Amino acid sequence: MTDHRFSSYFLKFVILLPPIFLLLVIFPRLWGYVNPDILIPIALLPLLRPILKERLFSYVYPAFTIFFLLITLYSMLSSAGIYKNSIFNMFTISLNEVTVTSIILGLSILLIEEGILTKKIQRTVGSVIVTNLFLLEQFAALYLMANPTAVPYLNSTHLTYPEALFAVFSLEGISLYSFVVNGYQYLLPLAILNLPYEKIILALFLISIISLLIYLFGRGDRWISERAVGLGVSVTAGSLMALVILFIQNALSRFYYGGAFLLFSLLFISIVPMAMSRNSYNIRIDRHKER
Amino acid sequence: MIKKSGYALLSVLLYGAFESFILGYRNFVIYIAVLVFIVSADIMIFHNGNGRNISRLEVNRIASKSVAKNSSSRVVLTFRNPTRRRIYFHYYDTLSSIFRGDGPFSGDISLGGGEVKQVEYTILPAAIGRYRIGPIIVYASDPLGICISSYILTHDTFVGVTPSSMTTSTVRSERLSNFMLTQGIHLSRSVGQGYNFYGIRQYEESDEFRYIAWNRFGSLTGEDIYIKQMEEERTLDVVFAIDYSNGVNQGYGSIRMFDDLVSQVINAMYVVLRNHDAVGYIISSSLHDSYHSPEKTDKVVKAFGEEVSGIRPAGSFSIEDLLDKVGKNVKKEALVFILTPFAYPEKFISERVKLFPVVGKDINVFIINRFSYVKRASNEADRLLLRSAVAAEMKNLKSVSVFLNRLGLRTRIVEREAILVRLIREYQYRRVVA
Repeated sequence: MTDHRFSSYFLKFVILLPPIFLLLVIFPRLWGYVNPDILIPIALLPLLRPILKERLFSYVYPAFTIFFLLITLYSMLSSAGIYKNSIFNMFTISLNEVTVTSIILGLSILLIEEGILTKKIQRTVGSVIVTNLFLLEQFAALYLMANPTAVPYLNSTHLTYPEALFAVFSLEGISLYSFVVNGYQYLLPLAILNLPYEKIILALFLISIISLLIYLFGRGDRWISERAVGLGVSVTAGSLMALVILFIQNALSRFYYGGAFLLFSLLFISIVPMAMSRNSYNIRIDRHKER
Repeated sequence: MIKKSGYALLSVLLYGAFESFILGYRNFVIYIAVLVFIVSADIMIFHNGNGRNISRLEVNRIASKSVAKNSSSRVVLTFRNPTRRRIYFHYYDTLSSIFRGDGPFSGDISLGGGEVKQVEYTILPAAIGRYRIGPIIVYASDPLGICISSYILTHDTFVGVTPSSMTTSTVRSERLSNFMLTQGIHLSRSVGQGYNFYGIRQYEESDEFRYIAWNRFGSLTGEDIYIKQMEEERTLDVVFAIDYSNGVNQGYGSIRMFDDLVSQVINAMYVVLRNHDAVGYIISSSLHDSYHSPEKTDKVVKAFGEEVSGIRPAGSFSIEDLLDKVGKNVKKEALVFILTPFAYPEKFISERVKLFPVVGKDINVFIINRFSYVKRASNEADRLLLRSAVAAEMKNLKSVSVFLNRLGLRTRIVEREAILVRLIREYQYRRVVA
């Protein structure tokens, strides 16, 4: 599952196009709400990978995490007036929404870089999903800032970025609560906002999936024809299943149970392969003859 | 079986599905759903197709049960797909991890329904002994590379590696061995009365007429008859006692102490046999105890070769036990060569001298220097460390040698390259003074 060729890096870049697009849209608008002293070091960490050897690089993230946690601890202690040190003061960070936004945005950039530079495609897929989620929330918050009236019951004409982000998180909470308690969803944050660039994002998602399939098909040179058949069958079967389930979900949406149906379908379809996977490895059979 | 990375991917996808469901962004929901379905379909199709079918493969391995060291032997693997569906897989024959393999001992194969494929590769055993050869491992992976199905086609068998004819050829070629070892001096003399003149004595009625010393007839009384006495020659029994404990299982690459000991002893056996003397052997350790009485035919050499190809060095070595075996089995006139590295030496303290069994035989102990089997150091620091270790080891071996000499066991430390020469020198010396 590893590949070092330039084409593989390019394909990973294309797979990560949706979050990269979202980042390009968000970043200029969010620049006023981030602390570059936090954002830039986090965002630059993956670039140490080509400089340092793999063994040394494995210490980079733990070391940075420990360093960052210590800074946070010191900042908390100094703001509470418990402990102060003139040398450590230069590392103090303010514990507010700017720091949180910087960390979230920094992590998104870090994950995008990691997704491109990593040797494993699973990590790239993981990066796409996690960064998409991070950035969609930020995107929604920005859109809400521009259109505060887009959300019903939100009686405000002006929202700051932290307020908008909080509003998005609150809507997520309401959505989760209504799903758990009522069994259907209410006030889906991104569904009610009617975000812009929808067609571009949809196209990028499609390009991302196609690139992923091209990457998987072109990986290595073993069993090309056999893999092509297997991959073709998987893609066709998977797409058909998705089509049927999305169709049913769409039909059930009228009764508010579409989301629940989709979620349980996805859960079921993920558990079945896991159950199949058991007892299918390392079976010792004594069938071959020897003389 | 889903690999860890597969579980990670599924977990991330499920998390993404859940989050997208909470966020309610339709495009992202579709994106995630399609990914989940493709991944799940891939896993399910693999487990019901290729992943399951590889367990039905029929594999046959043909390999020789006895192989000579350093001579290549052919191994044939046959794969048959008894199903009607195509099976593609990767195979790896673990036989190649025991012997040096050359050729496709691992590779990728795709077989259609009912198709048969044969692959051939060669193995080159580097050391003698009996080796357990492992299974053939067959595994397949799904198109996304997140699942693996592995089947171990097991049928453990053993391959015996006999000593190489290459290492003993110089001795079996008389011209080479004369040049290298005996310098053309043949100690072979006819067995019986002998040729060397010893002296004369008065004739007795039972004596043969042909030995009468006619030039001494009547030299004292005029009628007295004398008879010539010849130096009597006897066959010498030479017994090689080898330490075959874990202690001799050292070396690197194709240089192994037990391998060297066996090949040099075989070489020495041929020299002794050509001199019309008898050879026998003892293979000794806490787990191996084998004795072959001296014979004047090369059956002993063959038996020795076969025996060592069926075992590997194992157990511990005790010179006391070996001396006991020598005392019980070997007859008094025999010449005994003990070869051991004393890798795990017993306590050679003066008080124990009296505890050692008194064998009363002509015993030569060859302590093999272990440093002949240590890989040469590649840098100066390692070289210095090695040098000090060699000094300490030599000091230890010399004290062992002194101790054994005190017991009347002629002991010397030998290097790897000198084992055969030393053996032959000692044999020649003994043959001359016998």
